[in-house]
Formats: sequence, structure tokens, C-alpha cells
Amino acid sequence: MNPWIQFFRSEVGLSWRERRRALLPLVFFVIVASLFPLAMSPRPLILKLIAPGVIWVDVMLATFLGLESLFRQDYEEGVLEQWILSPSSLELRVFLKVISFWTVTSLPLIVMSPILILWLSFPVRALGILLVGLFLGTVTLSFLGALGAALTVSLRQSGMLVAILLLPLATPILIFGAHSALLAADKQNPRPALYLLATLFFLTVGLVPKAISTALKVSYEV
Amino acid sequence: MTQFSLFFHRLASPPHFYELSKPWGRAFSWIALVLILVGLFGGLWLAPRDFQQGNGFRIMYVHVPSAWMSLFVFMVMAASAFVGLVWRMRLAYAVAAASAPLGAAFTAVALVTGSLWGKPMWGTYWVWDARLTSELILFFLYLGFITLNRSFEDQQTGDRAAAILALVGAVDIPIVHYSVDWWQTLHQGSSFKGLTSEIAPSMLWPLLVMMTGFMFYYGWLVLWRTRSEILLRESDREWTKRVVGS
Amino acid sequence: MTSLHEFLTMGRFGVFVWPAFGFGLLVMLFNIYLAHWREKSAFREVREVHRTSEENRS
Repeated sequence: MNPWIQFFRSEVGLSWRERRRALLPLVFFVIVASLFPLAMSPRPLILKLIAPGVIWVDVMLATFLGLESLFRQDYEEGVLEQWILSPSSLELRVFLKVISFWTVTSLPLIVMSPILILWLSFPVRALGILLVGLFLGTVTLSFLGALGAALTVSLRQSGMLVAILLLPLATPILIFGAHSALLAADKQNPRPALYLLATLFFLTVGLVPKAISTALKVSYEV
Repeated sequence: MTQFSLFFHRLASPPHFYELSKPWGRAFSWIALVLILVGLFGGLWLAPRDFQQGNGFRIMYVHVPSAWMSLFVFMVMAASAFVGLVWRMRLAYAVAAASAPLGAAFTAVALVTGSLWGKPMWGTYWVWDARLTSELILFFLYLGFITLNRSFEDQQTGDRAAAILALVGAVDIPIVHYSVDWWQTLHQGSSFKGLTSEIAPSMLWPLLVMMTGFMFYYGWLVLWRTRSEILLRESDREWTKRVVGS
Repeated sequence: MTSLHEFLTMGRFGVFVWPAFGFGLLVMLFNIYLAHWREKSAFREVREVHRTSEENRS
């Protein structure tokens, strides 16, 4: 079997074995979304307006908080050092690691989001656009989150710091993502927003693995 | 080696930079003082009153230079971060670390003066105007850079990590600006164009003088701060002993 | 500007113009103070480093 496929499967297996931790973002995601109707108003008219924003901010926070310790264990056990020293591509390893984490952690968020849509009285006809947007967005956010995790890998308490670093970087994703859903619910054309989101998706997937591997190397050089 | 590249080679060596930057900094400080005073006089007294905005437009003479500097300083920071990462130059990291607080300060001034300008123009201190919003996000980016730079035991790790953040941020800023612009046209149309219109030469020259003055002010302070940052990064070297006199 | 009175009140915009310039000036002066303070603390820290390394040697 191709060693990269093997690596990917073992990574997914590892996250799955720790599924209780991996599923925490999902629980967080659902709880936070349920707070908004309580804090604001249960009136469908208001909920419908804020639903895309709530879901997108919620997804962003859940992703960043979940990814904060992505490389922590590999760093502490010295696996990361072996990756860096090994002749095979660190970028590809990072890429597969993030994708495997996404499969275990973010995919459940997307699967769960239709239920939140019902809670927040969001029109069901815009569901398709929301899901496509969430797919593009969570992958992009996962790579950004991994960058934050890589930059702070040698720090013990980094949750809040990662959020401060990444939230400003992630605003364009939030804007295009939430507005594609909002426009779709408004019966307007959501495609421009989705295309822009896709552009960010390709830009991030193409460039950020390089930045992540540079960041990982930083913590080993003296 | 030519005279020119020799000059830069020597400049990059910390002890040389330390001595060379002192007279430059002093010169910059005087130029900045003169230019800013001239700009203030021109902007607050000589420039004619705007026929639409009355004297309120004069906030421009502090707002526009600060906003311009906030972007310029980030570019300097990203460029020196790049130089630091590629050529492993300690001096470049020191420049980036020295620039960040200054850039954050310019951004804060741009935000506050923008709000104060907004009140008479829009009737409220804050609207989610595209430019103010991008400026706010820029401010957050500066804060992130400063925190990350100072979070590590080892200053070198902090420098490198923050340098990566600065580069990613430099790619992100135009995207943020575009996305906020796009978002704004979606929600408000393009009705908030009040801040830009053709500007008369009698109003323009004080602005240009102020902007140049701000550049020299930044140049002065960044040299000063870079000297301190270098000292901290080279505290294990012999030459710093001579400088601090121990 | 036609009169000192207009200069001081800035038409009716004095409440906005003067705080804006005041805040800008304040931040710029504070930056100078910060640079000064940073230099002082850097000197102190570097002296400390040299002193401890000196002690370790002897």
C-alpha cells in the first residue's frame, strides 16, 4: 500500500481512538448554537436573520479550539522531529494530518448543521448552499487553525493566543461564508460569494501547508 | 564589492548599525519635528475651510497620515520578517519587533480620529465603514504579532514564529480589505463615499507635509527601538558590554 | 482660517477636531516615552546578563 495512504489511515485511526476529545468541538458547536435563541429572542424572523452568522462564527470557534493542540502530542513525543528530519515531504504530511483531523472533527459539524438550521428557523431551501459553503470553509479554517497550532506548538497554554492570532486572519472566510448562506436565504444569487470562498479555499490549501511546515521547524531550531 | 553593497553589508552588522543609526535617528527626529509643525500650521490655519464639511475636514490631517502609516509599517514589518526568515538576519527581526508597537499605535490613532471624524459626518461615532473595519482588523493583527513575539522563552523562536504570522498577515490584508469592501456594498450601497473627493492643492500640501513628517517620526522611533531590540538579542556578545558600560 | 476665534472653535467642530489632534499628539509623545523606557530596560537587562555571566566565570 502507498505509504501516504497508510499514514493518512493511521492518523484518522489515531484521532478516532481519541474520539472523545475529537468530538468535543461538535458538542461545543451544538451548545453554542442553542444559546443564541435563549439570549436573543425565539422569534423566527430574528433567528432567520442571524442564523448564518451564528452558525459560521460557531463553526469558526469550534474549529480553532479543536485544532489548538493538533501537533502538541507529536511535539512532546518527538514524532515531529522525526518528520522534520525525514527526507519525505513535510508539507504533504502536514496536509494529510490536517485533512485527517478535518474528517474526524469538522465533518460531524457539517453533518450536524441541518439540525441547527431547524432550531434557528433558517429556510431549508438554502441548506444546500450552506453545506457547500461549510465544506469549503471548514477545510480552509482547519488549515488556518493548524497554522496557529504550529506557531504555538511549544507553548503550553495557547488556546486564547491561537484565537487572537487567527480570528483576524479568518474574517474574509467568515464574511464570504456567512453571506453566501444569507443571500441564498434571501433568494438572491449566492454564487459570487461561494466562488470567492472557493478562491480562498484553493489559496489556503495551496500555500498554508508550506507556512505550517516552516512554523513547525521554527520550534526545533536553536 | 561596490561602495553601495559594502555600505549595506556593514549596516547589517549589529554593532555598526548601533553606532550608525544614532546620528540618522537624531536627524530624522528634527526633520519630523519641523515637518509636523509646518503641516499642523498649514492644516489647521492656512488651509481654507471645506465648503461641505466646514472645519471638520481638518481631522484629515492626522487621520490620513496615521492610516497610511498603519499600512506602511505593516509592509516594513512583513518585508523585514521575510528578510529575517530567508537570510537569518537578526537585525531584520529586531526591526520587525520594533515596528509592531509603532504600527499598532498608528492604527489606534487612525481608529480614534476616524471615529471623531465620523460623528459630525455620519452622525455616529462608529459605522461599519469598509475602511474603519479593515483598520480594526489590522489593529488585531498587530496585537497578535506583538503577543506571539513575546510569548516564548527563547526570543529567536518568538521572532521566527511572529515573522511567519507577519507574512501570512501581509497576504491576508488585501483579502480582508477586499472582503470588507464587498460586504459593505452588499449592506449599504456605496453611499459612504463622503471622505474622498477631489482635493484642492491648498488643502493637499499640508497633508503631504504631514505624511512625510510621520514617515520621519516613524524612522526616528524605529531606529531607536531597534537599537534596544538588538541589545536584548545580542546580550551574549562582547560588543554590547561596551555599549551598556559594564 | 479668518480669526483666532474660528481657530479655537473650529466653526462648530472644535469638539471633534481638537480631541482628534490631542489624541494623536498624546499617542506620539507616549511612543517616544515608550522607546525611551524600552532602551532603559534593555540596558538594565543586558547589564544583568553580563553580571551573571561574569559571576559564573569567577
